[in-house]
Amino acid sequence: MVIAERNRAAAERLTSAHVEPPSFIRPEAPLGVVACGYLDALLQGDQRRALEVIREAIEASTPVKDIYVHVLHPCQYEVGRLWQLRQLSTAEEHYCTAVTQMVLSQLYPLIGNADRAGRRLVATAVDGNLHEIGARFVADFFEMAGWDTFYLGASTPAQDAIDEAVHRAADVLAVSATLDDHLASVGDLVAAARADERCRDVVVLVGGQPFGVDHDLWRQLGADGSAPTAEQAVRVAEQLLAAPR
Amino acid sequence: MVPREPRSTGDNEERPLVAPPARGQLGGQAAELAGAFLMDSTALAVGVFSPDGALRFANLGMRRLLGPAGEPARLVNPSFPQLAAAGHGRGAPIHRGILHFGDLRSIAHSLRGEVWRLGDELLILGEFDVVELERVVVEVSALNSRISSLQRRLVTEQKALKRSLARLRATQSMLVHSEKMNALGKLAAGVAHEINNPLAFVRSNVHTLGEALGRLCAAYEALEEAALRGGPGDVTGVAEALRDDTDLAFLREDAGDLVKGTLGGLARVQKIVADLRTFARLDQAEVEQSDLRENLETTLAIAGPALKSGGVEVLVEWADLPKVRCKPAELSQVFLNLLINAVQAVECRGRGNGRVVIRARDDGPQVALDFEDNGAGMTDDVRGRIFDPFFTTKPVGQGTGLGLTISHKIIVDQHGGTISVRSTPGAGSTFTITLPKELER
Repeated sequence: MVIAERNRAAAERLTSAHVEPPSFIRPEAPLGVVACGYLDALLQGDQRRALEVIREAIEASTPVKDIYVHVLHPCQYEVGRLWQLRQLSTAEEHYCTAVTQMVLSQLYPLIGNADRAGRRLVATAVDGNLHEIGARFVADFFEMAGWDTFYLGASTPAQDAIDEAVHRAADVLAVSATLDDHLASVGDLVAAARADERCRDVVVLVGGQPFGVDHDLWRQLGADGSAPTAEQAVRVAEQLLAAPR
Repeated sequence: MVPREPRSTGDNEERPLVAPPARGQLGGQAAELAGAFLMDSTALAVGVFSPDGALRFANLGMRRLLGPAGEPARLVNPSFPQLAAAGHGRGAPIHRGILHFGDLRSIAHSLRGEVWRLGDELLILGEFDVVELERVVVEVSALNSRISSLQRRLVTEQKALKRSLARLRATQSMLVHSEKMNALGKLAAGVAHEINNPLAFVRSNVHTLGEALGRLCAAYEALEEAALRGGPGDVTGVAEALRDDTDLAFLREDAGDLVKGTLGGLARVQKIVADLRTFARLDQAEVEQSDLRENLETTLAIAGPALKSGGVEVLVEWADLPKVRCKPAELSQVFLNLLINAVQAVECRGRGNGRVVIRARDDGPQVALDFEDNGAGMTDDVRGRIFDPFFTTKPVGQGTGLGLTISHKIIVDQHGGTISVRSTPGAGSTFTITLPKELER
């Protein structure tokens, strides 16, 4: 019921072109120039230049975390915004995401070996969600915080995600939804996790665009928490685990 | 993989892909706009050619496929000669199905389309297979995400392995150190005795010196009192009396001996402590040009008390050896392990009958050291396992079973040498170490 209403609301937002949401990229923001250069390379279809922009930032001793927060995250949101505004085709959006994924692959080995926190995360895009980059961001931020992370990728069936969380003795299971269409799957996964005795102590976090629009949605879907960014997700997880349950 | 849909081969197509517009269906401005759109389209290719391939008309899509103007058109299959030979079609296309464009240097394109012969011209119509292209995008995206996930898992596992390795190294270094301490522990009683001995006479010497100092101070005070109270004659008398009383001649001689003895005793303690410290050094031993004999003698000094208390006779037969590039602190540990094992092995002979012979010889590019004992010897079964970690023949709690494992590691892994053993049950064992003169690094 909740989801059906949301789907209508989402469809309305998508079709009403009256209010154009502002760009996620601002040159004056931290690393704004790098973000502009990177986005421009993506939109020009110039993968080589996009990688070069990131490489130069790394060589200038920019922390990997800052590149995630100030370059890749806003650029990925901007690509999504341009797609919604019909300024980018689906194929172009795929291309931009693929390049960012390649960048993530190259940055991942550079993520510092923080002191191990002794915590374990399983992160995945929910069943039906082919946009896996958000879950990957989340996994990488937990990794930076010293967690052992297990990232399952796109569109993972609920049972597979739960089995993996059990197998890895995860403290947290993080699932992402990109579109409102994915919310039913999120609800199913949370319900399945709650019904599974083996997951009794697993904290379930949900995230993604729909949860940023409706701040109470995670509660309605039965999750333990949600966060607007990957970085904040780490804090939410740590607070939830520290709190008596 | 998504199952492929059956693909048209051209022969069994019934309807042309681009139907000629029926008269009256699209006209006026609509036809003009559609025509203009078609001219700028890259998804559709429309071209008119002479039978020999010369271009007469093309939209943007066709020009993109044909390559730069002035070069031969890049229609590969069917080729223009094939099309020229295909006749006139009589109201039907002369080719229908796939058209391959491209050359060996450029990206090839395959379009679905048809070729008509209209008078002395060829009309080529083609379109990109959109369904196919979208399927490719989906496949490539999925593949990309799988590769990316795999790569991430690989790096994660690599990091976990690195961490395990670091933990393993730390544990190993702890084990090696605890084995060192274990070896030292076995010698502790003897070493304590060695320290206690000089300590006892240093203590007694200092006590005697203290008494002498008391007597001297008393004499000085008596002299001072005589000088203040009486005349010069009194002082002389008192001084003579005091000299006899305190036996100054003896005191002077004895105090010198006591101080010398005390310093000697302290030096002995200092040497023992220095030997222990050299041996117990936790830091990774450094490579240096080292005299093996000095090295062995330090080790014998530490093991000396244990040898003495067991009444074990130690003979050293030393050839002239050059200095060897090695890690001396590590070698000391090997020597000590072998000596302790030998002492324990000869216990069965009874006090005073045990004998350990250490022989060193120059063996060309390497030096060889034998540690020979006349102890109990080993059976073949035991001999085959002595270098295995945690293998020990000693009662529980008396040996870690790591001494020879670590010795093997030090000699073979760190010095590129060899360690081997010959043994006859009931007669004794001989351990032989060889060390290259130049440590390869």
